[in-house]
This record gives sequence, C-alpha cells and structure tokens, in this order.
Amino acid sequence: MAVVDDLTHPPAKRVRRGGDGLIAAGSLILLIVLFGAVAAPWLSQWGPTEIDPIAFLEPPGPGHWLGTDGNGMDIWSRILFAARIDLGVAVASVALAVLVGGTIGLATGYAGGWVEETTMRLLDIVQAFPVFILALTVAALLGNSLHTLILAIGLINAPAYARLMRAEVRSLKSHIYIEAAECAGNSRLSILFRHLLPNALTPLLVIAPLNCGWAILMLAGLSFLGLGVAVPTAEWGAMISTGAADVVGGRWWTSVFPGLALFITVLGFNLIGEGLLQRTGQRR
Amino acid sequence: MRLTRYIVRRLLLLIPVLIGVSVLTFVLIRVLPGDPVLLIVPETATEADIQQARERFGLDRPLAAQYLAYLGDVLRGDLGRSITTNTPVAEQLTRRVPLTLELIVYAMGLALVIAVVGGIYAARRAGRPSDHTARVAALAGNSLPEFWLGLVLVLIFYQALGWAPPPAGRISPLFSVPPITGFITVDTLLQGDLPASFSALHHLMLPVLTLAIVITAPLLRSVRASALEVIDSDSYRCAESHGLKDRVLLFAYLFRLTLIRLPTLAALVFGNLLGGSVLVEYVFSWQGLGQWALRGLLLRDYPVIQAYVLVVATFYVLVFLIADLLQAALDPRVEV
Repeated sequence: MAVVDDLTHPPAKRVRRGGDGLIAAGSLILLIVLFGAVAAPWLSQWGPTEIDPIAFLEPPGPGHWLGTDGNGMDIWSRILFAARIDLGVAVASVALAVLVGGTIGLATGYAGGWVEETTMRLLDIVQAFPVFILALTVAALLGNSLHTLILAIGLINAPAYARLMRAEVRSLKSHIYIEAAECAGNSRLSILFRHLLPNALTPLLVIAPLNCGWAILMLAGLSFLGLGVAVPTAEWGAMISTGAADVVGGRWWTSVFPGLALFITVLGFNLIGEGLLQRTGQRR
Repeated sequence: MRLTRYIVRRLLLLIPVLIGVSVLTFVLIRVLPGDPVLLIVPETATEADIQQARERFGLDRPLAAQYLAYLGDVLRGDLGRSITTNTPVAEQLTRRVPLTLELIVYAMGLALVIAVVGGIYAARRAGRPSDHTARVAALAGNSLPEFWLGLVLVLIFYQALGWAPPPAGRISPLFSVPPITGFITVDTLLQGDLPASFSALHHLMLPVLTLAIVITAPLLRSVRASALEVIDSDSYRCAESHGLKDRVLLFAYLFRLTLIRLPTLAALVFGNLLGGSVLVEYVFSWQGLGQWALRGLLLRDYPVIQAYVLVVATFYVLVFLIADLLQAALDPRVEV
C-alpha cells in the first residue's frame, strides 16, 4: 500500500509541515515593532503628546516625517509610542485570558459533574453576548484606564481558553499516566499542576499569538469608538479615530499611517499564529 | 413532520439562552456607573423630580421586581420605551434592523461568492503562485481593522476618484423613500423609483466592500482547506482516474463536497456580523442597529441595550438553526 501511495502521490504532495517561514516573517515584523516601541524616545525628536504650535495638520515632510494631526502632534512619534500601549495591552490581556480561562478549564475539566456543566453553560451565555457591550460594560464598571481595558479584553477572551483547556484535560484525564500518578499517591493538586497542566497547555499557547492580534484590533476598535484609551494618549485606534474627521478634507496621513502600523503589527501576530497552526498540523 | 419537530425543539432551546442573556444584560447595565435619569431631567430638577422620573421608568423598584416586570412586558411583545428619546423601542427596532441587515446580507453574499470561487481555485492550484497569493490575501484580510479599511476606501473611492458618494448615510438626501419593508434597495424597486434605487446601491458600495473584505478571509481559508481535503480523498481520486470531464469533476464533485462544510463557519461569521457591524456603521454614518446600540450604551438607555442584546442573541441562534438545516439539505448523511 505504501508503495502505491508513493506512486500516486508524487514527492511534492508528501506531508510537509511548513510554517517556519511564516513564523520567521511574523517574528521579524514584531521585533521591528518592539524595537520601535522601546526606542521610541530616540527615534523621534517629538514627544507623543508634544504640540508643535506652528504645524497643524501638516503633510508629511522633513520637519514631521509623517506629518502632524489636528492638534499639531507628530504622527511618527505618536505611532512609535502607541506601539508600547497596543503591544502591552495585547500581550497582557491574552496572558490574563490564558491564566483565568486556563484555570477555569483545568479545574472544571478535572472536577467534572455538575460543576463542569454549570460553568460551561455560564460561559455559553457570556459568549452569546455582543462583544462590544461586554467590553464596554467591564470597562465602565471599573473605570476607564489601561488596566481596565486589559481586564475587559482579557475576560472576553477567557471563555475560549476555558473551553480549550477543559477539552484537553478531559481527554488527558483518562490516560494511563494520570491513573498511574493517582495510584502512586500524588495529591490532587500535584496531579493538576505537575501532570495535567504541562501537557494541556500547548494548544492554548498555540492560539495565543492569533489572539494577541485580535486583542489589538479590539483595543483599537474600542478606542476608535471613544470607549478605549483616553485622549490624547497615543494609541493606534484612537489616532485613526481623530484622523477620521480629516479624511473628507483629503488629509489622509492622520489616519492612514496609524492604521498601517496597526495592520502590520496584527499581521505579524497572525503570521506567527498561522505558522504555529501549520507546525502543529492543524492547518495546511 | 420530523423537520417541524426538529425546528420547534431548536426554537425551544432558544428560551433558556435568551433568559440567561437578558438577566446578564439586565444586571450588568444596572450596576454600571451612570444614571440615565440624570441625563433626561433638567438641570434645575430637585431631588423629588428625579425620584419621580425614576418611578416613571420603574427604576426605583428592587432589581428582581424590575426584571420580572420587564420579562412580562417582553412576553406580551412590549419592549418598553427608550428613556432618552421616549419613543417605543420596538418602533426603533423595525427601522434600524433592516438597515443593518441589508448591509450585512449584501456583504455576506459578496464574501461567500469570493470565498467559494477563490478557495476552490486556490485548492486546485495548491502550492502554486496563485494559491500562495490567495493565502497571503486571506492572512492580510484577517489582520485588517475594518474601520481603518473603510476610511482608506473612502479616501480612494470618494476623495481621490470621486466614484463613491460621501460616507454619510444610506441614500442621497434628495430621495425620500416611504418604508414598506425597511430594506431600501427593495423598497425603491417596489416603488419603481430607479434613480433612488441606484443611489441606495451606490451608498451600499463601500460599506459592503469593507465588510466583505474582512469577512472573506476566514471563509476563503476554510473553503480552500475543505476543497483540498476533497481533492485528496479516495472518492475524488477515483472519479478523476475514471476520466470524468473536468467540468463534471468541478461542479458535481469538488463544488458540492466542498460546500457541505461551509454552513457552520458561515453561520459563525454571519452571526457575529449583526453585533459587530457597529464599527463600519460608525465610519459610514449608517444609523443602523449598531450605532443605535452604541448611543444607547453611552447614554445608559436601559431598554435600548436590553432590546439590542435580545435581538442579537436571537439572530445568532436563528442563523445557526438555518445553517444546520442547510447542512442537512446539502449533505444526505446528516439527519436533522
């Protein structure tokens, strides 16, 4: 059979798990964005909220490489400093989601029974909720700050991780090595954290980069609607929002450049995520 | 008969979901800081006036009593009155829902056509340049912020080229369209007003394109993946080696088998569109359901938010029901 298979499948069709190129490309993009975020003060001569009183809505030129917005703030500098907030919120909120969702999934998956059933139905309801309503509600409940946004975006993502973790734990639970660990007299906690967790964590970490991209889009979307970071904080979505009013006047640079930064960063995360999915054989 | 029973059973399952969602909404929005009553009473209002306004909307009663009263009203088909505009919520809904539905139905239609044609095309050329192009395009589409894409399209097609109308509303203000169905492209046709019909389509162009580009990405990827699976399957290889004509292979085998997998993902994408249209509506001043809900949220207009969440959740569940029925129709192996 193997021979026949080799004949009907020319070598090109053999399963080759790619993805390394995608991961490399995505990492390169993110490294550049990270460098811009860290080195922001040295890469730009203007501060992110510093106003140039003689340059309002100035097109890109030698003084302000990417122009200025309606407040006379330098777009290039704001884009660099915004990377700190956007990357920070994305990574922090996904870390929170993995932590909270993972813990819920681990506990309920291992406990089983009515605990599991009830938790899953509650998560169903949370997930049936319009995302923006949920994000705003959490944000408004706890005050409008960066911490709140991290919490809001993180909690919205948590149910997905809880589901994933629960499914993984359920399938691992019946494995013989867990039974062996139980027989050897390990405590429940030690089984949960030393035996189940390390093996169940991989699928969560595989989708984390894709989720980071989504989290940035979420943050930018909230800010675009005026529900995210407070003005004049430099954040890509908020910058696009301010720039949106200039579009009809033909002043494109106030919204196009921050959007490009946003797009490229999300693309970086998505390239890595796609690459990881291919490496783990979940996508071809 | 079995079909009817299945549909009824699925619709009954809707009840616990709606109750859960409505309780959650009810509690969440009421614990939000911000008081809608303070927004509608005049600045000179005394404590007694505020109390009176609060009583008028039943906001002085305990939470559980408020919820039960609300539930009773909803069961009688009364969604309440908006606190800030004092208009019936149901009336607003019948005006807003068609606007947003029209937008997302066209976008979904366009996205499905592109995804199916592009995905099958790419799968048949797997590993070749055109396949790579499709995959890169899908990745890029997945990374685009739709509000920014909308702005860029406005810059190009309205500002620079002048092909599109200004991003301000649904139809040129020169036309007045008395609502029949609420779907403007349908109403203008029913009234035989071709110029108005053209104007409506013209205004739909950019927002539909924006949404379609963003939602095509996941659909395209899924179609390509399932088409690849079909091509690698024994039955397809068998049909191929029997020397069937390319056209027969494409339409009777590849196309049909690929489509079987599509309804579930399409339902997920479409179901999320109604709740997720707010960003694109905002860019194009669409004044549909999304913008209405956003305004309701900012003003803490409780009945508006409650109605919005109910509509979105119902829509979500119905879309999945339709997807499952479609799947059963496409795939004889699936029984409802």
